[in-house]
Amino acid sequence: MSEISAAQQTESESPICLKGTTQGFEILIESTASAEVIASEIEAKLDEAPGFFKGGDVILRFDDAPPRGYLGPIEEVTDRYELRIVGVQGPGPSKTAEAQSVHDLFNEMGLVEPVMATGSEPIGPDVSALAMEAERPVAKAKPVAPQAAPPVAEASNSEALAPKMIVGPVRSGCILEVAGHLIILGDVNPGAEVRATGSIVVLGRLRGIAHAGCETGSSFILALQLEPQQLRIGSLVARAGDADAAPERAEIAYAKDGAIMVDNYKGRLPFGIATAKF
Amino acid sequence: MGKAIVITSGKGGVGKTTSTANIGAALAQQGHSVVLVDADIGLRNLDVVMGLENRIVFHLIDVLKGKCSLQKAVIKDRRIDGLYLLPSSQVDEKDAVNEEQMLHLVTQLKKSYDYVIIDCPAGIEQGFRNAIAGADEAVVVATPEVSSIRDADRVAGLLAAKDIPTRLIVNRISAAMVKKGDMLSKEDVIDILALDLLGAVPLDDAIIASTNKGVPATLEGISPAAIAYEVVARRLNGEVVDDAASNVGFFARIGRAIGLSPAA
Repeated sequence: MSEISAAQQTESESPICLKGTTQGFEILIESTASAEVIASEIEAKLDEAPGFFKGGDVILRFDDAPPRGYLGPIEEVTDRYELRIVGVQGPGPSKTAEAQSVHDLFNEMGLVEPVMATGSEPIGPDVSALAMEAERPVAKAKPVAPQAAPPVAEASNSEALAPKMIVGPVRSGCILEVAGHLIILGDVNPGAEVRATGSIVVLGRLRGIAHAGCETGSSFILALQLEPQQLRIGSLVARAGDADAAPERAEIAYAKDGAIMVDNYKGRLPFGIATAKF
Repeated sequence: MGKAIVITSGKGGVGKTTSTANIGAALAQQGHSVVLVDADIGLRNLDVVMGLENRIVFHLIDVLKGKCSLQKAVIKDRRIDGLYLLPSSQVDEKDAVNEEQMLHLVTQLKKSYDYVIIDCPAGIEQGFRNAIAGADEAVVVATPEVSSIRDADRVAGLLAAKDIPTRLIVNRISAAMVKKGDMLSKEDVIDILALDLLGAVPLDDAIIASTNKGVPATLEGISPAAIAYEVVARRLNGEVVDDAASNVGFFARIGRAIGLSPAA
């Protein structure tokens, strides 16, 4: 009797949980566990039926910001079972798929309707015809969504992470919000705010506010001229310095050791920055 | 069918009304029929700048309320052919008008005039929405100050949302201050706003003097600002004027004024 309850307890305490979807597996992971524990737990789970899992696609879903350096150890295990990590997701509602609201589903699917509000004026919401162009497909996709199960898996693959391109300038008062990565051709002017659940690349000057990795925090912000009012990555915030001189080179901002770092961009991501694999 | 152009800025006090008066006068001088519409309801002053204040009998609200015909409310400027003013009301408020009414009014005016120049109130509320409702094009006036540029940027975004093509006037540039590095240059302003430049108007005492007199500087004759506004008017009319040409025009006009060169 006591043995059984003990077993149940370990079961419920395990920081990971495997879940099958129509298009592959999801591994639900408690982010409080360390990378090593997670990796060994996954290994244990996979060991239960090695043949069954072999060669499949898998999505890692964290219930909070993933622990530092999580990808290496996990990948080591999944490689051994020839599993392919096709997506990494932040906190999503899919632990209890039945209970999730349609709204949550949209969020999870990356179908967050872009907010291009210009404040409270009714004139605002349809701001920037420029922005609309790229966004329209998203808005159209919305009505299709309400069916519960299949879209979840669909959204988890790389399609949901496909970057969106906006032709700027993004002007003062405009709030641009996208799910996935965001590329802006043109400037982000002071007073404008761009938000993405993934990373942000500005092919121009970033002079407004940029918030990357609204969900996970493992994102970067890159701009040809990085002169922002504020940078936010995940839950971190950095304020513009008082330096007057405009940067002459492209710069990249990323989260490291609980702070936002800014480096010259040297044609690759700084060491230690791992975003979702494609 | 004429063209409706709204002169706007977001921020107040950057020279919308002065620009409206001068562009209108310059277009009329260049032979077009122009009606200036004061869309700043409740705070009218285009009539003051134009020196037509004491000739107002009916105004824009009277027309919209059906108290008089459009023709009756429009005042003819006797100093020059083809220049007219539709004054605003001083007692009503911005929400006495809605966008459809303004669109209808501007459409009516476009039938009778080559240019309908609309003087927009400051701000981005109902008055702004009314003023841009009938506009085919917009001119954003900005001074080389960060506050003005920030507001101009916001307004440019709102105009883009309405698919209104927008160009820029940089007003009150002081060459001396730019040279000393104390003022943003027109290039700096264009750089931030990413709008096509319609003209750069220098800081000019003649503007203040002429505004107080109620005579647009372009009707007064030669002054650097008047010449800049003439260039703006030509560009609005679709002519290609490069910056150098406007300088030549300046000297030619001085020559003409003192009898050295023949009238062009």
